[in-house]
Amino acid sequence: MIGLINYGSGNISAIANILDIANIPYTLVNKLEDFKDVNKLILPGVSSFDRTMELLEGKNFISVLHNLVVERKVPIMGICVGMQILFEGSDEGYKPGLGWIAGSVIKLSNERTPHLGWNSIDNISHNITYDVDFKKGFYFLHSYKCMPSEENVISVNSNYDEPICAIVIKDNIVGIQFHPEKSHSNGVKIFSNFHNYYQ
Amino acid sequence: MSSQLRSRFIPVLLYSNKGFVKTFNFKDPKYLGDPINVIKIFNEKNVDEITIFDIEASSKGTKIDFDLLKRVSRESRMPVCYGGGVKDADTAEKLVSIGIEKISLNSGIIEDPTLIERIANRIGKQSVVITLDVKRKWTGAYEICTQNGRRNTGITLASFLEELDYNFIGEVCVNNIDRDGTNLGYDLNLIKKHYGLIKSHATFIGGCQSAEDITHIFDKYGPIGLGASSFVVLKGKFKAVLISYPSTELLKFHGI
Repeated sequence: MIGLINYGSGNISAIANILDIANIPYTLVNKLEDFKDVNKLILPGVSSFDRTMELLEGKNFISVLHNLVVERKVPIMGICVGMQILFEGSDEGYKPGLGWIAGSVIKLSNERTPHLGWNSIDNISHNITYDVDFKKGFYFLHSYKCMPSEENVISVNSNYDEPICAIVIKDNIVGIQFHPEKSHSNGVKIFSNFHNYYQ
Repeated sequence: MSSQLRSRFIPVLLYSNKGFVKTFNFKDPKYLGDPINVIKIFNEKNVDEITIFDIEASSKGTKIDFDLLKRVSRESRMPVCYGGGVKDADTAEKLVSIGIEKISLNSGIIEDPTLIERIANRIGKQSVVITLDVKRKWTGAYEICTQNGRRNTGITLASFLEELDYNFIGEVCVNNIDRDGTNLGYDLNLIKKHYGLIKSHATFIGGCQSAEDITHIFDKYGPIGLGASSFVVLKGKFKAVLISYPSTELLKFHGI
């Protein structure tokens, strides 16, 4: 069952609602004991990089997440800031991230930031994007972007006068920059694919 | 690279007395129906995003209906922007914590412009929307109004936009009181004069007449946001309540 990590993120109820509608079993992970029944994880993001890390630290979730994701290769999908903290650090804050993917998070260079609205993503054949309408794309709302520096990761880009890493995939770890919970049926497919194809 | 940020067409819903309403020149509210039903219909229509303005929370000082907004956010499969009565960072943070993606600030920032930075530091600039209600003066300039259009501030839109610090703002939304509920078409002069002054994302509301009206502006200025209320909630000369949204084909895939 999917563990939906609940540590104060605002979009958690919208994600839970979509999992309900799509008949995807999940449980809310509110405290350490709740990790025991889960075999994959969804990590939503909150307002900023440091705030997200602080809240995870406050719940004492960091070491158990390391154990599950790095040692036991439990699949995890980070969304928005939940994607950004998969990296080593961010221009937005001072705290180190989880560091599971090498690279950093940098400020967008476009004058009209944030990257706000619906944008298409590059067409890629992968389980996580199965049956997705790439042209229709997804809803983005962010001012910082991930810059993976490893060679063995898959990066699916969008574009906003500069390449934007929309999806990053490294083995059992998936990061999603856009908001699948606010991207209609295309977004629902991301959750279904994560449920169906990641074991 | 083929991907390109698209323009957005946004239903604007006014909340008053526990329901969504539609006004005419900011007056005479007409009841539209149960908010959650309206959201569900917009889900089915694959709407780009929605904006909700509580037209009492600011002007009459009623409390923000967090319970409703929580249900709206849970049901909504598109992003939600909320405005009305947000005058401090705690309130903005609470709204984000219940799942509202964007927080619109209105009269509060006319009284105290430093509010913008304080709120952006708490919730991130990407979630900060500045909404300015304007009326055209006989001089041709547009004046910012507050209190649901009842109070003139004496500040012109152009001068205000030039002085804004865009480091703390994700989007500026200009709401045209003169065209509210009229279906006369967007005020092209208003957009032409001010689009270039807005150094963030720009959204214009008021007067939407047709899909051609929308695509004309998308083609010329995109990516841009256009908001509409009567066009998406009322139909026909008797202005019967009917929720609709132009198809992707009609909007020519949002200006691409």
